[in-house]
Amino acid sequence: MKDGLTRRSFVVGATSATALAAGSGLPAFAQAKSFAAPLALLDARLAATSPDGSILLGDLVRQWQNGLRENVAASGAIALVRWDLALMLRQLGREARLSIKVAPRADGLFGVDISARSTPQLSTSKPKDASCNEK
Amino acid sequence: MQRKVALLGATGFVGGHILTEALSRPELDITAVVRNPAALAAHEHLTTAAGDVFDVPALTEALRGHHTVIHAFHPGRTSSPDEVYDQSVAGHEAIIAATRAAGVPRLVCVGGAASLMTPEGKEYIDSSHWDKEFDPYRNSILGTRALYYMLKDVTDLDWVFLAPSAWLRPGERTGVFRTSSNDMLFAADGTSRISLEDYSMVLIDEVVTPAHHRERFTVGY
Repeated sequence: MKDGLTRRSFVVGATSATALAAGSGLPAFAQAKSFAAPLALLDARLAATSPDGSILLGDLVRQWQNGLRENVAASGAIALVRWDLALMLRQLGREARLSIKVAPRADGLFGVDISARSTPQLSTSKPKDASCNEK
Repeated sequence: MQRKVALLGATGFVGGHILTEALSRPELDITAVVRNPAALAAHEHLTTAAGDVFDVPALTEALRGHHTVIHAFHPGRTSSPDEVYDQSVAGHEAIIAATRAAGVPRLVCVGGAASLMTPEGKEYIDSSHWDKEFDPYRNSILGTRALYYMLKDVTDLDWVFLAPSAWLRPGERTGVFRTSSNDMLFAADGTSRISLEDYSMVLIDEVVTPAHHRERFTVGY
């Protein structure tokens, strides 16, 4: 797997989340099922301030419970994290039934690619048994 | 002032003795995070929480608000010899990650003797002092040694790794023992041993009055 999700791209903030996603070897997975740009997530221990468009991950469990889960499910995400948050993201993603790929990098960090949940096909046609409650 | 301590592995061989010792200290309130809370008898200073160390997000929530985590987890008898090393390491990773994520500052770990240095300058597990009776448990022992090497890279937790002597068995709470930072201790009769009762006392002393920080030490007769 390519190591396209570089630490530099996060730390320097030279790229938007969308560009980051497009330029990475990892994110094709995240983008596949989503029309929205994947979120860029960054371990807060790797940067004091948030590079352009990225979300700093601190208390990940609480962030996940407070809305990050829904946002990731809707858009997918690419993360650059240390091993412990990679472990956490993998488990949180699995609990949310999202597809996840984790790739170790040469610098000891981990790239995590979480795919967006596919949007179910909505139908406006009347179900065949809809008449059962229409007496 | 009461101190909240989370204990992982409270139903285990070592963890059970640690729980007994901890509950003898009235200043401690213990939360035992175990797979089967019904396995533990009720006590006024004991709270039980159902949990699985491999579920890091849930473990993080269970550990929040505690002052110290005691890591006495071991995969146990359900693991085959081939699995026990991997499961041990996975457990160590999960516990370190959850302790860190929960914001608990202190991690007190039940260690093993494998990495202690012997007089011949080799780690116990690779030395001539190694007791062949431990061979069936070699993978398990290597798993505990791995914890020590993992902790050496952990700089954001106040951890301690308490290595027992080679033989850790039920006995008496004597209160008479020696400690060492790196060297395996041998009693006057040439054996390396410590009772579970004395080991547990030393470990809980580290919880109540931390004296070792980001280091290993051992206890023996």
